[in-house]
Amino acid sequence: MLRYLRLYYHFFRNSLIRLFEFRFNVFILSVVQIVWLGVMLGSITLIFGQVDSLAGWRKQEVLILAVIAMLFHDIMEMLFMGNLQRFSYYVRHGEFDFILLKPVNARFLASFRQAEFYNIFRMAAMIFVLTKLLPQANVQPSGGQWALFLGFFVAGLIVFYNLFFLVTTTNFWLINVFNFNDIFDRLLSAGRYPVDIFKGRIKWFFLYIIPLGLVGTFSTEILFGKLRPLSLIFAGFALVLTTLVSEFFWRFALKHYQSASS
Amino acid sequence: MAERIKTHLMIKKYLGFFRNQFSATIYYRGSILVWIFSNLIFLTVIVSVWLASTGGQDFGGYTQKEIVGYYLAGFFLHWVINWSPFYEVADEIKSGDIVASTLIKPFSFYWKKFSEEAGWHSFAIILGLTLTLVLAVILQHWQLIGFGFQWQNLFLSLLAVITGIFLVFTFSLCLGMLAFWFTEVWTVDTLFWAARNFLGGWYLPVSFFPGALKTIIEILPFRYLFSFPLEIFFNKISLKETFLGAAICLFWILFFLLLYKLMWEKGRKVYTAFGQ
Repeated sequence: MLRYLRLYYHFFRNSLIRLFEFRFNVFILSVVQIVWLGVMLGSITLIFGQVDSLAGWRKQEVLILAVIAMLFHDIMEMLFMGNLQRFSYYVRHGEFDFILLKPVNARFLASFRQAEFYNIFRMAAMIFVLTKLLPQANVQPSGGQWALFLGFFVAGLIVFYNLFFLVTTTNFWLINVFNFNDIFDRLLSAGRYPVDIFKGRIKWFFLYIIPLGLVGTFSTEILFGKLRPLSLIFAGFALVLTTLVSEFFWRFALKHYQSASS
Repeated sequence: MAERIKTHLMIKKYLGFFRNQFSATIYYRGSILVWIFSNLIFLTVIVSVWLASTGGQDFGGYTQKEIVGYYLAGFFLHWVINWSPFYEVADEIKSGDIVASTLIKPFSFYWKKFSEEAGWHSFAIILGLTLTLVLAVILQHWQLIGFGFQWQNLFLSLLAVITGIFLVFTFSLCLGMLAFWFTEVWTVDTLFWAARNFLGGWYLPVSFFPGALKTIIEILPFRYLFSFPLEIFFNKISLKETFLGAAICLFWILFFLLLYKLMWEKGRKVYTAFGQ
């Protein structure tokens, strides 16, 4: 365990060094990312120029949810999504063999090799925006609420990492598919709206199959002093189930992996 | 006679690029299906947002049923109009492949890229149209969409789509050609899509924007990349406004065509490639 933590520290550090090799690029990227944040907040503001609420959620609540969900999305991108995209590339170009040959767990290497830091300034901007939005919405969470919020947030990160890794593993068979990240981006973007906007079977799908509530809805509700019944149990169950299923499928897939010749 | 033969041979070449790209698109149909699914997610979410909204009867001049129709039409239009060769162009220039693929070959880079985009989009349009019609039937059955259809509006919006295609293509081509001067250009494309999606009507109809900002949006090119054909189709602008919009769109097409020519001339002179 200590060995993997040390390894991860080096991966993290190398990624940070690589980012700042091109400082002007970092500056431009940061500006672009903050523009996107402005676009998102602007869109929600324009929607609430026409309506009073979305499925019972007021404007301030939706703005806070959107910022938390975007923070979730950025952390997923920072830690995992670039690696999943590269995993897809390695399989298609036969370079995955080099990962298998290393004396390290292949899943660890495929999932955590590089971190993408181009969103760090936007993440800082979002935390700042959140500190302004919470008082405006008369929300002052207690220490316990923050702890529960972090618990749901981290559980959501792990659940979605497991789900996305499970999907990306299918690249061993679906070699010509190179854009799973498009779906991942859309799903995480969908998490910026409360899950209550969905009805019927669609709501069932986005609550239990793709647990969008874990992107932002559940953790935001905790800050407002609401906790859905059974959401704690559901989060724990989703965490365990997705971890087991993704690991089982990964081991199954590795047995059937056929190199494209390296 | 020689000119006619030359033209005929040139068209054959561009048809060849079209066919190659069409075949490649069919080969990568898995990725197309993934893209369809990801766009379906967006459509489901945005329609759910409007169906779940309360407190408003009029959404930027659209009724609730019209706005659902707007996003459904936008779902199809997204397939039709986004002729964006940005990444292919930037990659070709950055890797040096453009030397062998175009610079020493006797055809137009513009029309080569256009033919390739046509090949990709032909397949995408067939898929997109099928899916949109199925969704329209389902939403109509659930009584979630409804708008007044006029043949005149359909005809004018089709013309707007064609001009929109040329505008998106030429704009995107110019952005990709920045790779002649800069190593990393993908951030420019990100800004382009942020502007197109927000100011061009993909996230929200442009009628949502207040007064002065709306006027600026009507002058900028982004509206004509997406929103303009939809505004005509849903009868949200008058005939006079349609012709004014068409004139502005044509202005931007000419602007980017001239910019393309300038960038192509200047870019080739400063370009250096490795390993070719």
